[in-house]
Amino acid sequence: VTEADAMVFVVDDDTSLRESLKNLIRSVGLRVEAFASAQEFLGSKRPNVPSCLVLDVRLPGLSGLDLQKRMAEADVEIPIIFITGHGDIPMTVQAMKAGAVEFLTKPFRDQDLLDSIQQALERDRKAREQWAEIEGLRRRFDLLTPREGEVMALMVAGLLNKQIAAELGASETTVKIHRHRVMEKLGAGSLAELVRMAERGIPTQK
Amino acid sequence: MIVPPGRFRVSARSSAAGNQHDLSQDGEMKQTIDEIRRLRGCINDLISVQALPAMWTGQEPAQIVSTLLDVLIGMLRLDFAYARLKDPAGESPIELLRLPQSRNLTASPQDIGHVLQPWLGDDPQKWPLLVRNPIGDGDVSIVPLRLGLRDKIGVIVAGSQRADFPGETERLLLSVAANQAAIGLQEARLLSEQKRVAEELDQRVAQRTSQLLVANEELEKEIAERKRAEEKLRTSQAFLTEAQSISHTGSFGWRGSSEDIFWSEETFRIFQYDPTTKPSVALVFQRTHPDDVAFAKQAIERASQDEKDFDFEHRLLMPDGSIKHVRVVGHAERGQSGELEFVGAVMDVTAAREAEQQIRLDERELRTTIETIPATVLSLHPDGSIDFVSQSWLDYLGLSLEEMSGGAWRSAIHPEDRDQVLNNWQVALAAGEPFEIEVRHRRADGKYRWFLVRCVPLRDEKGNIVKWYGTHFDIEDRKRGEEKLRRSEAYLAEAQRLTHTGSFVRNLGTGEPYYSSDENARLFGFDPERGVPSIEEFRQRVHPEDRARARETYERAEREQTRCEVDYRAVLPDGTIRYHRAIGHPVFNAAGGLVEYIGTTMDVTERKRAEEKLRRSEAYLAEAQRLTHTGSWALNVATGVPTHSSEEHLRLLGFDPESDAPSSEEFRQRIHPEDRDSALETMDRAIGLRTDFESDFRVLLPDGTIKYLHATGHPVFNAAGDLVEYMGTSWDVTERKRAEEKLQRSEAYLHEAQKLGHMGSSATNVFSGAFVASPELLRIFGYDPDKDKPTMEMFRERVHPDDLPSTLEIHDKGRSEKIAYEMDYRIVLPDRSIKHVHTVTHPVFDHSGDLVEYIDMTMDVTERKRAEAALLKAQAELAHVTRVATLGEMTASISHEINQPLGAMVNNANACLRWLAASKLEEVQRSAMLVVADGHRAGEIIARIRALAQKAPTRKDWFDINKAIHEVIVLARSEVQGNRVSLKTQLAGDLPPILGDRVQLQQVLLNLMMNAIEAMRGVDEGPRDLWVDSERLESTDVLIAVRDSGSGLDPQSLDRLFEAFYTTKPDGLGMGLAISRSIIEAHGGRLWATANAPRGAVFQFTLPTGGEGVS
Repeated sequence: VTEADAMVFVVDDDTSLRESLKNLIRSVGLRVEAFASAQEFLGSKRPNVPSCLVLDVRLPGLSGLDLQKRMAEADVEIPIIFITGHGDIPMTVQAMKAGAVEFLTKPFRDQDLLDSIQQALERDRKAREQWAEIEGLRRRFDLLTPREGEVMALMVAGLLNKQIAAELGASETTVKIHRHRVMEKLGAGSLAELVRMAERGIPTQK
Repeated sequence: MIVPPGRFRVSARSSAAGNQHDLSQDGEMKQTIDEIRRLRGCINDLISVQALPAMWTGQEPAQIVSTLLDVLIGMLRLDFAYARLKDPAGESPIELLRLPQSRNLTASPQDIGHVLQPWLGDDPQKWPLLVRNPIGDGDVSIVPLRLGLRDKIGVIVAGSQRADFPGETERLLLSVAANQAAIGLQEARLLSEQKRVAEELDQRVAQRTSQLLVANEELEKEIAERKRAEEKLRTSQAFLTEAQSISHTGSFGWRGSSEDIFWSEETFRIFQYDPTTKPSVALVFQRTHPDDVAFAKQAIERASQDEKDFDFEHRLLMPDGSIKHVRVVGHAERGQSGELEFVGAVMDVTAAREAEQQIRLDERELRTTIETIPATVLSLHPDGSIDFVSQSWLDYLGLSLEEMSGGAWRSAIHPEDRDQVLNNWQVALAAGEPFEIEVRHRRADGKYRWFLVRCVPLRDEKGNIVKWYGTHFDIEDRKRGEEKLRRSEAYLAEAQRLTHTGSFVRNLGTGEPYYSSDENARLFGFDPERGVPSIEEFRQRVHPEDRARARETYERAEREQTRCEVDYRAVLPDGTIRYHRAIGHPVFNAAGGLVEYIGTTMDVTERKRAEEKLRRSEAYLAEAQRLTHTGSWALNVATGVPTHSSEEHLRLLGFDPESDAPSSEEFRQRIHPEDRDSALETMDRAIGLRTDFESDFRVLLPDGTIKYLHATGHPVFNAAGDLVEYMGTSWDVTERKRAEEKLQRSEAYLHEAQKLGHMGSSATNVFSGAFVASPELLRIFGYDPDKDKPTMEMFRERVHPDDLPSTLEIHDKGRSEKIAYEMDYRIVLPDRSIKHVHTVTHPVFDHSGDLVEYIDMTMDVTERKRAEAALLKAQAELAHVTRVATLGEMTASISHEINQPLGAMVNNANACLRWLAASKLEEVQRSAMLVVADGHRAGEIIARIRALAQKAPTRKDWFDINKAIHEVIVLARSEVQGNRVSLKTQLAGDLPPILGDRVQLQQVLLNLMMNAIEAMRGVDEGPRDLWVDSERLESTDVLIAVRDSGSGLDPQSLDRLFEAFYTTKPDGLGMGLAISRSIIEAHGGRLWATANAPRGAVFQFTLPTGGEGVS
């Protein structure tokens, strides 16, 4: 993922401030899209690239904090950098608790904003990578038969083949065959690797 | 006095004079000056209205209302003023209409009254107070003002086309004016009512008095007439009786068909009957000598049959056995009724017969005897030639015997009688029958006298006529008596008929009236021609209720043998009822026995009615006196005793009219001790001078009540010119006194009020030039009210020389156009000190629209001028402070507004640097331009805030109101967003520019928006919506409305919202709305608040877009 792939969104109702933010972000080579209101932003079509949102707290209609809440409800996990004319502590705490990257009070130094944007984009990029990895694992888990799934769960729990066979009421040979298939389907080279995979997102109850 | 400026509207008074010399260089104060001037105008108007009642004293209601309407038209710039006065007497109401002088309009009061009817009737429409303009186009706001309780007096309607009519102060003025008018009209009405009643009373008394006088006069005249007639009759009867007695000749009247015979006294004597006996033919024959009865009857019957006169002699055999010779002569004639009547004489000729006897015995002796007695005797030969004529006859005729024998006697007979005499004589001579005739003979001096001429033949034993003897009997006196009697009887009958007085004689023996005059019969409804009705018939005509009483009265009088008098009613056959008064006098015979009653019956119906009328009119008078609290009295001057006190007079003085009349001392005691001496002295002096007097005094009643009386007295003289008594009235003027006192008090109050308010008034009569000025006016101008007599010139002298030209110009213009005007000027007092005064002048018109006088109100405003200056300063400070306070409240919002462009600038500058580093020159240029634009924006915001915070003088410019609204919205935006308020605008696109102070109007808008946001801050439910709308009204005004969906307004406090220092905010100053309203009204607009639907409040204001205020 390159810098050019990233996208910065700006929501501010003040035209000149909005333009100045666009100008500033563009000047460091980032793509930027600006909106005058939260509704406009929600209605926009966003590309699936690492992104972040520079959001003014005080907006006509839906406020910045309202927008953050809506996005969380809609599983839109774009990191948010809040900017405000006069932020107070409760407001800041609320925003940060809800997962904001940064809370900048105007006037802010340009570098602080740009650093926050970089940080946010990095965070988003990582999140997107993790998400892609888990997606891959999930797809592989989905290839397992239910029996194989049961075997895998017991393997991860550290049981020996004999114990698994006893647990499932099957022969040790059958367990061995399942075990081989699980390792093969998930692409795990060793039991240790399988355990790590399971920890990263396999629903344990299957 | 600090008046919250928001409480009053500014109205531009066309008549207001410019305030040239005061603070005019300071434009900032202009608006406040207008405000002050307007306030002053209000006060002036109020004072002018308060001064009206003083001018109204003694005026008619129509004049009062007319004055009031003129004043209202002038003061309030009405399009019309209409009044309807109810008439207390229930006549059709008086309607009056006043239109502005300046406009050439005509309309009749009735037209206006018709249009306004729905608002004026008994159940008047209350709403809307907007009617089609009855004298022009469009609608008119009207204010009906009801006068008196339940509109008893009437109603005044003020109408104006102005949309803002009526303002608060105009309402106040109208209601004060209406109250003043109601009081004035009430007093005027009371006075005129008193006057009217008094006049009516006077008139009624005079009318009754004259009626009574006439009735009385007529009665007196009737009585006098009757007396005269009776007197005459009595006299003539006496004469006749005397004549008959001397000549032994009785007279009689006999109506052949009846037994009705009239005898004279002498006739009774000849027949020797008592005069009281009723004469009859039977009585005559009773006395007739039995040998002559047949002959006499025959003679009478023949005469009756032939309707001929009769003349015969017969003898009477008297009760004492003596013989009388009587000659009966009857003259037949047809009476008025056409009946045959005999009128005649009975002569006692016994003496003549005895003389004849003697003659026969001794003729010579007889002749001698004849010659010696004063008789006129003659004898004739059987052929009729003259034998002998007594000398006395010759002397009478003035002829000699020879001349007589020669036939000259014929010429001595009256020509009218001559033929009859000669004829009759020829007949008698030929037949040898006695001859008798009444004839007029000429005396020697040429005068004729009546004679009864009689010639009888003297026969010898063989029956041959030997001689004729004749006598001339002078009957002149008898003739005259008869004539007189006939005439007097006619007179009497006529008199009785005219006076409705009948006479009657009631014989006690028979009880029957044996005499009843024609009129007496007529009074009872009997036909006099049908004879005398019986006593029973008379009785039947007496009213049944009176019958027993009348009869008892008669019987008692008869028993007691006294005069009797009785009043009773008679019921005539046609049912009418007449009042009679009968008076009877007893008549006694020689022996003192009661014989009969002679009396009169008078018809007193008219008098009874007059009495009844009098009684009723007296009752009316008493009632009138009671109603008007007017009493009447009379006082005998000689004795000092009250001779008359009307019931009301007694009541006024606290006496019981039913009790005995109080003494003069008791009257005196009722006069208030403090007034007693002067009141009595006034009366005594008038009595001494024999003049009229009037006196006002109090009476002190036993219960402590005090009344004011107005007494008048008028001397009454008798025919001889002597002062007999005083007649007068007493009038309860307590109410009037109280009204007078009230008036005096209110005048005193007015003077005191003028003194306290440093206000003086004056009035100038247009016709007479008469000039009056109140004491305070003189004091203001440095004159001594007790010493200096005011003239116009005195006041002009004091005007500051610099102000004189402008003052005179306004004065002359106002007077020539006959309009109200105001002047502000300075005056210089003798001690060279300077005062500022303000004069308001109103023309006053009479009901026909002619200018009558000018009324000036002048106020010493020196102190107020100083206060005004201080007030102006304070107000300006206050407006500024409020503005700054508002901005202070917005500090956070404002700093945010400035921070925005500042942040943008920093961002753009940073971007610019980066672009520069990257050598992206296009981007560098773009960024630098953005920095410049953001810098300008920041500067504009700061300039706007500075403008609002600045203590800038008021300035008026033309500007676009929508733009100004936008600017305010920008300023308030942060505040709007910070409170999560949704701001919506709907601004009309075609608004004309506004002339005014942009900053001040923006202050108002900002204020309203901040209030709206504040109101919504406490609302957690529902949307927080703020609307700012502008629209153009039909009247070309612009309307700007600020609505919110906040907690709304408490209806209880709606009218207090705009008061200074009234606030609902915990930390509010309470000046925002007060100052906002004063700013809007200074611009000629209006600011008000109403509820918004479904919730919240609407504050809206109008602004004029041209016309007024453009200069």
